[in-house]
Amino acid sequence: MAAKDIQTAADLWDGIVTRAGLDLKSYDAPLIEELAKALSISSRNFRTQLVETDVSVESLLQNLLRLLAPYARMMNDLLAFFARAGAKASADNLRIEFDFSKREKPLDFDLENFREWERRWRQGTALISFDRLDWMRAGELRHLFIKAGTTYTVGDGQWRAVSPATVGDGNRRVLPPPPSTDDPELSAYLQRVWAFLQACLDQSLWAGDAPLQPDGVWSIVRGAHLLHTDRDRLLPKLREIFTGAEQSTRPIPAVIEELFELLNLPIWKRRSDLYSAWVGTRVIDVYGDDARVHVVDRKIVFSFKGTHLATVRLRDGNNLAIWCEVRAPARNLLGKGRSKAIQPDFVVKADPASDPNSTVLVVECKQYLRQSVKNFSEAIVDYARTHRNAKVVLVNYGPVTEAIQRQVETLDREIAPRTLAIGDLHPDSPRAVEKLTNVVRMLIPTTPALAASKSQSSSTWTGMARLTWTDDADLDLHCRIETRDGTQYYVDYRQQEWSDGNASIWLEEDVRTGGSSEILRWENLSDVHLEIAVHAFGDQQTIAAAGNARVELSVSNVQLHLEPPPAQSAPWWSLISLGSRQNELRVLNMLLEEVPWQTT
Amino acid sequence: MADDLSQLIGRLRTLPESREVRSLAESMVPRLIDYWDKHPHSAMELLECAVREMPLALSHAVVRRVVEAWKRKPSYDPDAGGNADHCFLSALVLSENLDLADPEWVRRVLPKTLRKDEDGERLGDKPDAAERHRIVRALLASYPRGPNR
Repeated sequence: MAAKDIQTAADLWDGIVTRAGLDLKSYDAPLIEELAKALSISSRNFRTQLVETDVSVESLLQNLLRLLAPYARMMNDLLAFFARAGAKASADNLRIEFDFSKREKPLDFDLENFREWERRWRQGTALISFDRLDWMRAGELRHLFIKAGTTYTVGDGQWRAVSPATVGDGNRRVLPPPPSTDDPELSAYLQRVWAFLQACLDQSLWAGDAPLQPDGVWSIVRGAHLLHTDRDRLLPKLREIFTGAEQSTRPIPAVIEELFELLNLPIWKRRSDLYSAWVGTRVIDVYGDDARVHVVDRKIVFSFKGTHLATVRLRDGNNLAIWCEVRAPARNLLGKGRSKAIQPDFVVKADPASDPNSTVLVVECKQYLRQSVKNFSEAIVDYARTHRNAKVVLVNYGPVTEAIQRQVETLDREIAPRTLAIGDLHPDSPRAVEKLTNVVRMLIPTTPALAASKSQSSSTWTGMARLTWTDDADLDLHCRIETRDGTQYYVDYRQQEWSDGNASIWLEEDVRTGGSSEILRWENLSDVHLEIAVHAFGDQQTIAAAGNARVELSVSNVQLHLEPPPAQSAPWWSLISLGSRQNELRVLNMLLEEVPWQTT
Repeated sequence: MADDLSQLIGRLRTLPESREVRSLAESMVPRLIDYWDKHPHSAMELLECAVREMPLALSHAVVRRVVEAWKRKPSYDPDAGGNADHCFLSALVLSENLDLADPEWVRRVLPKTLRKDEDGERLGDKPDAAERHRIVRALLASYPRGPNR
């Protein structure tokens, strides 16, 4: 059936099944399940359900596009990764091979193929309609999502999800999902804001310049994630801005035709490989420029035969090797299908890589909508018993519950502390991505040296952190400084000042009880990496017990007002990381049991 | 052109309807952009005057549009207006567009810029005066003044 003849959701479904060749019994079954869940219908007799519940073409289409959208974001991340790897390896026409299964032929493509697939996915999964705001309304919209000039005010711990997905860069052309809110009207407006912002990133949709340039788009994305709880501020103005705005709507038949084409792209047929590759590149990306991706004969290979994907240079001269699908002999395995060896998706090995006990991290990818407690926990146990010194992380596209961890403890209490299951790991879940990122960052024994980067800005930063609390407790600001050559310095109540040429960081006063402010300032910094945290001094002390701890941070022209994440108790409160490889500000806002950095 | 712009700014004060204010503000934008080529000093002064007569959110959009266009001009220099530099910075501060300015230039010009609105008197009964006064006070309180050593 041609797209223009489709009248009902059942017609559309028939078209999808036949034109896209869906494998409803196995490979594509989870897609139906997820779609049925989104439409609040049963996945059994899905077509009949569509008819009986009177689902509209638009509703089926919009829900399907929403399910496909994370893959557009994954492709966007992968494209940026491949482009960087190709550029660093001076490989003009980089090729990539997905060879995750011996049952299927390898999928071999070049960067240009992938760029084209990414573009089609991005455009094909774009929302069906958006508001064509003029530059004046766009400017008012931008203004709505900043506060007190260039101040982003944060009222709770929720904004941890803002970083890093909401930090836009030249390669990122797909937005993270809008912040979630319980208010249906605000939620609907945020969807409209997002559709408009996504449209602004596609210059082809506008006759002249888009009403917002990318920096404006990302300002709103960040601001929305920080301010979305402020309903009273946002709603009246959003109503005003969107009233009378011209709507731009993509014709439904054209959307359907594009959808059929997307579902026939080879990359969709191999989306489980796409997911694994995306997870692996998230691990590698934690190391930024310190990771060297191995391009052999202008090709990056993800192979079930085992591929050395990347090497990370450590400050102490040692290396970390990131491998894909490396096989390791094993005994007494629990998992079905495993008898003499294990083969997790990714492992990170310290020097010497030939030592079977050198693995420091194992990452196993699952793409299940519904967790399998038995399958997941047995995989974790088998991997942790085999890689005796490694942290073992199982990530799943769908949710996981505590039942996995409980079952791991039942199976082997000894290895349980080294294991973790992360659910909902996909680009629409920045919190889960951040969790994986933190595991990778925290586990590595030595922080990678800051590589000299041509892209580093020559500008300097100035700023301050003002810590306040109310009760009779001693909170201290701590700052770790890492210079370009990897040397670390600390500024805190013991060593209250650091300087290097014009650059300086100093603690104004060590305040030992609540009711006043402890202030850390920095000036003329460049080419250094800062991490700032708060510590509750004394045995058994916690941040929460100090009473109303708050930190006001000024970083150049951005201000953040931070509160510790609620309902947690710990002695360390990690605030921000500043500088780094992309000269970026990362908001951490985590309570921790241990000092947040490796001390030397 | 300056007279023309001054008249438009004067009319901003008298318009009761937000729709009319928007329309008038929109019509001022190309004039303000072009006026840079004639006389950057006056262009900066007029931009500040216009900002003070507009609601905050609208001024944010207008100043961004104008300044981004100015910055694309080969003759753009934040010091091109001579001692009207504080007018330019006031326009940026009072429209919440400080990020459009070079931080070093802001550091140099900010003290004299903030002083004139420190007591809030000049903001008087202008639109969003309280909010703008709060912005000025916050900047005065938080702008780093360097090591006190």
